[in-house]
Amino acid sequence: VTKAGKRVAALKDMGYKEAQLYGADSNGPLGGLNAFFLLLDKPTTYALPEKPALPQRNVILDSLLSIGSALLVGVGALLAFRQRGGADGGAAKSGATTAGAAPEGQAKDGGHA
Amino acid sequence: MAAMLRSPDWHLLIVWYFFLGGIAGGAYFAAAIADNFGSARDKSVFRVGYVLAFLLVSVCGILLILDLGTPSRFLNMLKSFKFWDPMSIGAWMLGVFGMFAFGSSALSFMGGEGMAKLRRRLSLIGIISGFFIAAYTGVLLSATAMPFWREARLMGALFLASGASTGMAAISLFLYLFGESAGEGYKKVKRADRYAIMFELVVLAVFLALLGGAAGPIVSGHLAPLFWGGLVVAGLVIPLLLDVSGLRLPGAVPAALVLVGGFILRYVIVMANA
Repeated sequence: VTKAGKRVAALKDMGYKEAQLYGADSNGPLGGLNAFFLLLDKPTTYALPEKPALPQRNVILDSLLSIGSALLVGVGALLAFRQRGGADGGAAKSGATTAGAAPEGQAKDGGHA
Repeated sequence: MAAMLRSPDWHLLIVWYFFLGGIAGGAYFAAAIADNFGSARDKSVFRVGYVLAFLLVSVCGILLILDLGTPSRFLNMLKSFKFWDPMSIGAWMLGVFGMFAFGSSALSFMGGEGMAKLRRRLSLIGIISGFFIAAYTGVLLSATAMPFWREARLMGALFLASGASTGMAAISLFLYLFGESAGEGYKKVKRADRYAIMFELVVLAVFLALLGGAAGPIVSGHLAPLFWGGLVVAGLVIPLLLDVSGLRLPGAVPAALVLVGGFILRYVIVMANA
């Protein structure tokens, strides 16, 4: 890498302003690509992504978003089924209210698991 | 990783799997809510929902095995459980959800207060696996290296919302076919479905806004007429308007439209990279 770094510096002196080592930065997005390339221009010129990223990393954010929407959908259905259900009588009403707190807590637990 | 290697030849089986899995999860979820928070008169709703979920999850299992070509590959996938791989965990969760759906269906045909209590408890836990089956397929796509899918956030959320709306539409369709459309449960499912459709429209709007130019393959390519006409207009907006306007149409019409829309959503998104 040090040798390549010198070469990049030399290329920059020669006028290739975008010359760089692609994938060599171990602090970069993927912790290095285990291989690196000397590019004379921006990565996009070579059809390489500017910031390479592992698509598997999307899983966590997408899962959280899904759990959030599950809660919202759940609230919607709860409203639809409870509106008349509460009118059935006092016992049914209090039963529905105490149970109403349960599904959200459970869904959250499911999310953390 | 398997998803990255074999995605380009994903085909219609996968679309069906995503679609039916969504309905199964959504129907189970609606049934569980009706069971736990509705009145005793909603019995037809949860019974149809549980049984529908069980039947569909069985079909999904078959589709998943067919898709992998040989049963031994399916066994292989089950053997190598990886908690970080949505495909591996999905196959396992399908089995878990199938057991919940089976248990709830069976219990819905048994009498007695004790059975009812057990069934309600069971469904509250099962709901999590139902949600998972409806949503994970979207997350699975976004975890591949394919250009459109990997940029699309909210695909899991979108599939989940669609699963809820199609699941409820399926329940209402069956209630209608069984001649139960006069019941109170039917009205409640309709109302719940209305909320789910509204929510789906909102999620879809945010989904497209976040994608911006990257949404090209579905909003302006050859899939665009299907997306705008089939999903947005025919599958979401028209059923919603029919429902709100209170037009005297057979309830089967909006329900069928929602179902078709749900299929088109999976089709358009899967084919965006095919």
